[in-house]
Amino acid sequence: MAKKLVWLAVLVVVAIIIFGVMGRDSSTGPIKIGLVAPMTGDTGFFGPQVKAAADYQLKKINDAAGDDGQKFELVYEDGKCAGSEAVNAFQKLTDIDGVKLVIGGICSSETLAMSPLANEKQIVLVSQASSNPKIEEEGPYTFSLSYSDSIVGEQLAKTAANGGKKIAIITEQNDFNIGIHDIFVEAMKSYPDVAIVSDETFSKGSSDFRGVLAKVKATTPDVLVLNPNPGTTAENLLKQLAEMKTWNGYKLYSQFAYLGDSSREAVGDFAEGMVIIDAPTVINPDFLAAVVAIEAEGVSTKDLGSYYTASTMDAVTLATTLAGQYENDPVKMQAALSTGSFTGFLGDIKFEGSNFVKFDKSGMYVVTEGKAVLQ
Amino acid sequence: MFGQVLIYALILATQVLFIALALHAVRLVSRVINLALGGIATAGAYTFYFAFTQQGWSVVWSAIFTILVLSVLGALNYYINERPTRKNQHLLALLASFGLGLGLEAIIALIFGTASKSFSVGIASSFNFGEYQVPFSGVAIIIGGLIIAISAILAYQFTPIGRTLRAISENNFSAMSLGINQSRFRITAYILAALVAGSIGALSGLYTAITPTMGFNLLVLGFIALLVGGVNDLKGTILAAYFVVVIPQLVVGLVPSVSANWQMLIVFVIASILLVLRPAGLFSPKQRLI
Repeated sequence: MAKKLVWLAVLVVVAIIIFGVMGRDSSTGPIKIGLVAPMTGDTGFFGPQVKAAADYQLKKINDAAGDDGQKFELVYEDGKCAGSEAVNAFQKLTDIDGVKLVIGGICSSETLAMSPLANEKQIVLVSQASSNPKIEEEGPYTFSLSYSDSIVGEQLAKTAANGGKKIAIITEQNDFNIGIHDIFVEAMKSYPDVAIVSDETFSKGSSDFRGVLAKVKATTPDVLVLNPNPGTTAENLLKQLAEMKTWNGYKLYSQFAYLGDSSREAVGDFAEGMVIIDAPTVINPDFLAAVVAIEAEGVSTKDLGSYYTASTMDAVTLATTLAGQYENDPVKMQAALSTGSFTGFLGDIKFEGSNFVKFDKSGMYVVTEGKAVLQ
Repeated sequence: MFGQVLIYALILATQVLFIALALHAVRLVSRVINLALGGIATAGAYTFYFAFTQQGWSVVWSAIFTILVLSVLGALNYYINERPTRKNQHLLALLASFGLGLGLEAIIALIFGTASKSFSVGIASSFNFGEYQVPFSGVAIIIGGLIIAISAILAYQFTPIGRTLRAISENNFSAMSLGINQSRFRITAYILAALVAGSIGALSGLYTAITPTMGFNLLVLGFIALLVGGVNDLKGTILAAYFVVVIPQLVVGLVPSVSANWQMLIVFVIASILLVLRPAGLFSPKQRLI
């Protein structure tokens, strides 16, 4: 019996090795590119939107290659907007699927967790949305097509300082929001006549903010900066703030979390006049046509927003261009990405040795009649 | 501000009380801490959401449907845990209940998605009590909690069912030798626990939004309340539910330099202190008598 079990184990190991080797054979098949994004969890609504944008762009590229051209395939993994899950996803993509370039993550927590592995394994990691300034300190294999939060944080501080003398900020405890918070607080030191009267943080994924809001209310701020992660948390925070009808006389400011109109739907007129600092809207005509085509297939990218939809599609274009041009060699792809110049829906894409794409201007939106309108 | 923070703290503590009472009921009859009750609380919330919001049924029909589903889940919870409980495999029963809770949450996430859901569109209604704002849903939670807690104490102390439950809890072999049908009492306790846990899931949905992980968050606090209050002490469990929630909420709400991030740490510190001072429960002797 024991002998049979040993033989069975040997057979299983041999089968795994054979299938593993077969799985890695991509000399004739499409080149695999990994994509890590939150497919489930509080920010899971981003997943289908990222997938729709990426699939649309990939189909366009594969169709353009013709019957004999190099084809590409996207392999999706769920990062759940969490570092540990993103690491699992990254390891699966690189060790089992054999990808040499990974697009993602969306959340800074995902990208910051995958980055050390990317450098260690020499796998090119291109995030289309992560904006935590710490990404700049990561190794040479990590790139982000997002603007850095330092730009948003500084602009948010400048705009809020013009809104009143007493500032309150409520921040969710995760990499994206803490990044903005730290830059914001540091930048506020440049405005000596403006004081931060309340600086509250809450745990990731909280759903009851009434206690925190009551505490902030007691400081009677002129300006209230909401700094939650996009999604469920942001919606609940705004909803519970809107419930506090006896609290008036403050101006609302925020970041990307409230750029999607659906994030403010539940509170009606309450969010009118809210100032949102984020990347500018992408107005490239080809991109706008692509968004219409994606939405015609039944998927709206409104939560992802104009910039991140464009950056997702550009990430696919970049990845396929590099993989095709440099035979999927990660060292050559990294060198090309670091020093080269590319064109996409975002305009000129160049890193010039930096981990962030060169980008120096943020956009200011004001909520008007339920829509975030670029000023 | 103290009053406003206290009101919110009492509402949250009452939510925890429901779960702690449900845990206590199952612990009484099976000597197992049943971790499926977090998932069952979530199931209660989503069942009501399905009936009331998605299907548009009336509140009464939605409540009846939710009660039916929760009863089935309570019975399922019982049958999964019965065998290991009978064999005194308490660790296995604990793991089985944890598995059921996680399974329920996973199924809910698959069916309804992971984004939060609200029973109604728009802002929840509230009224002003002096200078304080009180959500109607919060009042419903507190009144519901008080009714269930008082009913549980009265039933436990003064009714034949309560006496039987105490007998099973103290010595199930002696209770069996007296002709008590333990299985009937156990399944009843499991179903009642599911109804209590599920009802707070549904009520919490009126107060905040519902998510697939909402029950687990309540379960952690309910579990701590059960340990601090004393696993066999109903009054201790009720008091502990308020102790471990209200004090941290007040600290976070009133001390400017302490953010909400510290809340769970404060909960654990308070729980640790109480467990050191009163290891067998709030109302128990300082040390074991024997």
